[in-house]
Amino acid sequence: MNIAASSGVNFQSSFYNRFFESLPNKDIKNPAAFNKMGQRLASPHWNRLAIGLAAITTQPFLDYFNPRVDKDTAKASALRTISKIIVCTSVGFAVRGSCYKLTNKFMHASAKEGSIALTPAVILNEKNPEIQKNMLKLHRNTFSTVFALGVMLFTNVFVDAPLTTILSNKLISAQKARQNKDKAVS
Amino acid sequence: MSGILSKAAKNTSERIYKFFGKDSGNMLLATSILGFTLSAGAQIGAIVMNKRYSFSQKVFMVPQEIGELVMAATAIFVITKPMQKITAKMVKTGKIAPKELVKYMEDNNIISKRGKADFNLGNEIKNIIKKVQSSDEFINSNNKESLLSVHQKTLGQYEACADSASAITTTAAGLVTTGLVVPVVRNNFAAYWQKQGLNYYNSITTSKPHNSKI
Repeated sequence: MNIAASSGVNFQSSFYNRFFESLPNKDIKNPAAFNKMGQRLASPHWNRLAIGLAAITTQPFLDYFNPRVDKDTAKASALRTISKIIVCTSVGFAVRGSCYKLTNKFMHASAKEGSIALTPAVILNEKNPEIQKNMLKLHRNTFSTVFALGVMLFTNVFVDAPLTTILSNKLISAQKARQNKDKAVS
Repeated sequence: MSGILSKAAKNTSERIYKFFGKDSGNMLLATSILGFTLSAGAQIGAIVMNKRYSFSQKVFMVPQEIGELVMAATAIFVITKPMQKITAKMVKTGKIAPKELVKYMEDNNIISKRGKADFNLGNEIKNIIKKVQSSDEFINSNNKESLLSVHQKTLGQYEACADSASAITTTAAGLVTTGLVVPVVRNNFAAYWQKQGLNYYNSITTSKPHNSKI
């Protein structure tokens, strides 16, 4: 796929190049920390957790204060969003994390280090140890993400959806009980 | 049986490597779209079957899920891809570079090209490696090998930086998309379709009209 065309940004234009060159150069002062962060975020379970945390920080509030729907729908929608984020993030983190650990167990750079049952031939044949290390890290992330996606074909339907329903129903009941209690007090 | 399974797993691993190559950003995008679709399908089923939601709430929540799926997929091409492309270019041209790579560019007299739109730092390092490999200037092979290992280590650092930058950018774009863009757009989309759905329902049923308070 032509990314430049699909994204609508013309990276070949002279205007874009002039603008690009005018941007200041930036040195990465702590490359070890930068790479560690990159590797962590490229790993499927940490990436899922980061997205889940971002979602729970804003989405329930945006749902609750949605001015275009009635108060009951806004409340039900916010409670369902909270339930969905908690369940999907927890299950997603657990599934992706388990798949990542399992992949790591069977994907090493050489037979001396451990099992090479899942290591592609291209990585095994790479002569440059630095490049081989990067290729291996990257492919562990890629393989485990695709592996997790296969597992989630089932967990999305048989775990996430029913647990979301159970949790959101419990939250709705708790919210109604609190509402009734407040009414009784007043 | 276990032999067949391990062979199938190995073949799958080889295919995944060929398909996604060295770009973890594209892998995260592809799996995100598939993940969103699977999740939205299951959640829509759960909403429809949940008896605790009223009709009007369901008419809001189902489009909300569809809106989330459509918006999340759209945002990938409108927000994430351009951000990834710009970051990749910044790393490729050395505009963003770890301090070791900056020193390498200074030592090899290519620092003046840093940040130029047509500069490719990765190719430059590979060309230097080729020159060293084909050079006859070395008195003994140990010197040549140690010099080659320095350049190869630098190439590894460059590739690690490119990959980390891609993953950080993809996640940052995902945070903006999930935290702000998707919920705002999906809520407006769902509110519109709730109104349309209830209007349609009321037009075909005269006995007991639904409204958003029910």
